[in-house]
Amino acid sequence: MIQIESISIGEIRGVRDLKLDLACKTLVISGPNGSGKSGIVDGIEFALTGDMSRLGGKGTAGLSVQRHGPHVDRRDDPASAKVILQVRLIDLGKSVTVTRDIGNPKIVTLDPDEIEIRAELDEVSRHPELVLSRREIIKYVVAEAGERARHVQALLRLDGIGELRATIGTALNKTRSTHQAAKENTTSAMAAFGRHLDLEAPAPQEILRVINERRRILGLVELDDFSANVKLDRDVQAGGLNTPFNKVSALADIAALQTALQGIEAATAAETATMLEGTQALQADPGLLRLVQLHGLVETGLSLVDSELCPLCDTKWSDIEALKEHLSAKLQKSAQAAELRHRLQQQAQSLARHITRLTNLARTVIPLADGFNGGLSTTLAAWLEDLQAFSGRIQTLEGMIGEAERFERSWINAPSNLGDNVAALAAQVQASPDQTASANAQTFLALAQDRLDTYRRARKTEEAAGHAVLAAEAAYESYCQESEAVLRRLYEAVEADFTEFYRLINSGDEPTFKVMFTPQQGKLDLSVDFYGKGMFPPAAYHSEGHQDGMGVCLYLALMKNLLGARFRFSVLDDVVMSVDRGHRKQFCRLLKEHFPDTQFIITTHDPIWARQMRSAGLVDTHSMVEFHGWSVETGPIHTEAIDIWDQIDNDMAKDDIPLAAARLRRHLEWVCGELANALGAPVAYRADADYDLGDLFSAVVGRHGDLLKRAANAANSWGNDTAKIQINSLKEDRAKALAAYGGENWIVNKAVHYNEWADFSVADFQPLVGAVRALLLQFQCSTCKGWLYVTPSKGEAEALRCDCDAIHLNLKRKA
Amino acid sequence: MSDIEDEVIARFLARLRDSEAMPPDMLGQLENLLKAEKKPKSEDFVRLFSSADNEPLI
Repeated sequence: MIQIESISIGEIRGVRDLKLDLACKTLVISGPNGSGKSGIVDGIEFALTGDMSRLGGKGTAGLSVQRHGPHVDRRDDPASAKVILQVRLIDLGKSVTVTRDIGNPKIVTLDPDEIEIRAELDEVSRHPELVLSRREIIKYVVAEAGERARHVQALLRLDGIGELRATIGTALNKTRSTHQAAKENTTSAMAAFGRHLDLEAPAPQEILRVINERRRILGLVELDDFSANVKLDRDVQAGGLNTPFNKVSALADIAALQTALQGIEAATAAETATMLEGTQALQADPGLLRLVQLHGLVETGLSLVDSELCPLCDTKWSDIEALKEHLSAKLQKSAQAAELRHRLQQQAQSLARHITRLTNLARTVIPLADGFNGGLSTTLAAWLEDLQAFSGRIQTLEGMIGEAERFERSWINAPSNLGDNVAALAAQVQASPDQTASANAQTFLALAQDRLDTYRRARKTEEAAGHAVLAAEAAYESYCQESEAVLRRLYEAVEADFTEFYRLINSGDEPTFKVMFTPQQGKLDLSVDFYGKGMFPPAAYHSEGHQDGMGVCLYLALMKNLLGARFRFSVLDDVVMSVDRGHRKQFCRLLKEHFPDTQFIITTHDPIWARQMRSAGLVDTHSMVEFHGWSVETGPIHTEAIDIWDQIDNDMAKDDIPLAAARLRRHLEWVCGELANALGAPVAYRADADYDLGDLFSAVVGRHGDLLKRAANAANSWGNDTAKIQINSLKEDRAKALAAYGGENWIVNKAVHYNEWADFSVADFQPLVGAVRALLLQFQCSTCKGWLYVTPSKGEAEALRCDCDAIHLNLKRKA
Repeated sequence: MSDIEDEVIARFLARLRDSEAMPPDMLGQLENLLKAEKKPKSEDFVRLFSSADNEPLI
């Protein structure tokens, strides 16, 4: 897997020329909407995949990377739209320069270009989910179960599992169909054997009786065992007959064909009527046929309706309910159509079985016709060919509709005068000289053996087809069971991670939150706990903000289980906005603690959020970029964020104290708000949330002192000498910092202080800045640089700590 | 093919092997079919499942 060392983007979307050094570290890009942040995301995705998901998918009809990927002023020169990424290949321990331009989006240039490097990047290109936008996360949470299963399976690269299951399932159906046809052939072969022996149900003893009657006439040894290898015509002198002709049997075969011909239409009247009615209905209503074909598509379309735009054709409807009603009506009609298709297919299979029986009967007559009436033989052969082709065609709906007229006329499509010609053949055979008893016995035994051989071959084929069905069934069932077991385990792991991540972010609100997946028949139901009141669909009671949070957690859980330790890179495009303000610190903790080796590229239009990510230690100052002042001509103007103290120093160096004072005050306002929340400082409640900085600052400083006192008391009660030393050191540092500021009395006249700052000289203001900076350091861990906070976040504080636990002070005294 | 798909196939083949529901030769061919670069089609499976050699019953 990869991480990005640097990015260079030229003439892509809203970006004209931009270079950023990331050094494989997480990067936060902030800036107002329309400042060009997404151009970075598009550029990275394009370089890695040759595509930009923003220009594809739902609601993007008519957009394309080649036409709309370049900057608007370079749309006629797509080759000038180029991205160069310097990429670190973690597994290979190598770096590579990846260059791609929109003139040839499918061609990526690598330097160095090595097979293993290309293979690694090919794998990355198959993971477009590494770039996640806010509009995409929600599909994992609120989608209909079938859609969710598709999204999740696509994300987890599980499409192949479903595809393979369907392929083996299709193979199983085909083997069953072949087995059914083989059984028909066996039945026909046995019927022909029995007809020849004049036995309705040939049993071994009866067969031996009939056979031995003829063998006695010929003076041959009688058979006493009807074994698998028995030869009924053993020692018979065939007399050079290639096709044994037995007059009695021939007449029986012809009679059987005549009976079948006379009765076939009546025997298949039900099938024919159903198929005629069904195909006429489909012909009369082309929409019905289309619905049969589009049933699945309409079902999917209905599940995707989330606006007035039809998800299938982008047509705008008057309102969303009207669109849903339209699709529901279509779905109901298509459900009826799907049921009609099933019924017609059943009738087609039944008719195919009748055709098999009829053609098998006709086949026994063809050799006879050959000897008496060559024309009939040719006619019969051509007819059978036509019947078999017809039988094959009607197995598909389209083929069935093509034969509608034949159902109405006569599906048999028998040659003219077939009945008369077969009757004439019967008369010819009847008129032929009777065979002598010896010839009759000889041909009887030879033909019996011939038909027994045919039957044995049919049985063997049927047996093989049966074995194929058993093998296919075993394969299909095994595959289904194993794939479901693996998926169940995978979903359980995702469930556990999803639950843990969401609880971590929302620990103050929903400490008992849990999630449950229910995979079933290609669907994936998702239900979540709602404050212990039961399990519900995510959209049932949770706010949209919470649903968005679930989307992020589910995405991270899926990526963890898909890539494990190889999840080293991800672009979160405005995704973090879905985390509400009260849970942002915990969200940073989630990324830091659970994905410490993953490089995230995070965009946000909220500058406060960007600073919170820095103060929470997710990124350092050098990994933040602010975009501003975008225009079509210039693209975004960006500032690689510098430390606030460096900015104030710069202001003072320019003798711009008003700017330095304003900057210091804004910084203090923000820090105090964060610390008041993190330390649980008692601040007088204001309904308009317009807190005065002085109130916040005094509350924070006071709370910090109180917490250190409580920690000292607790350490004394437990006799924890190590903690005592650490707390004393913290208290001493705090006292020095406060003394440097002028003692705690300054708080009383804070408003005067702030108003006076702007009028200070550099010499007056510089010590103040140093004192404020030293004071703020008291609230920060010197190791992880994160702000101190208390746990739990609600209720009585039990510990004062930082993220890395270098500071973790117990506040509870020994009882 | 993802690691998860690989795992499903490995478990699938092991289950078939343990169940003895399929002759060893057929199982070997199935394994080759699933490991081939080209995705198998239903016809490939039909041909494979139909490859068992049977003795006549009578």
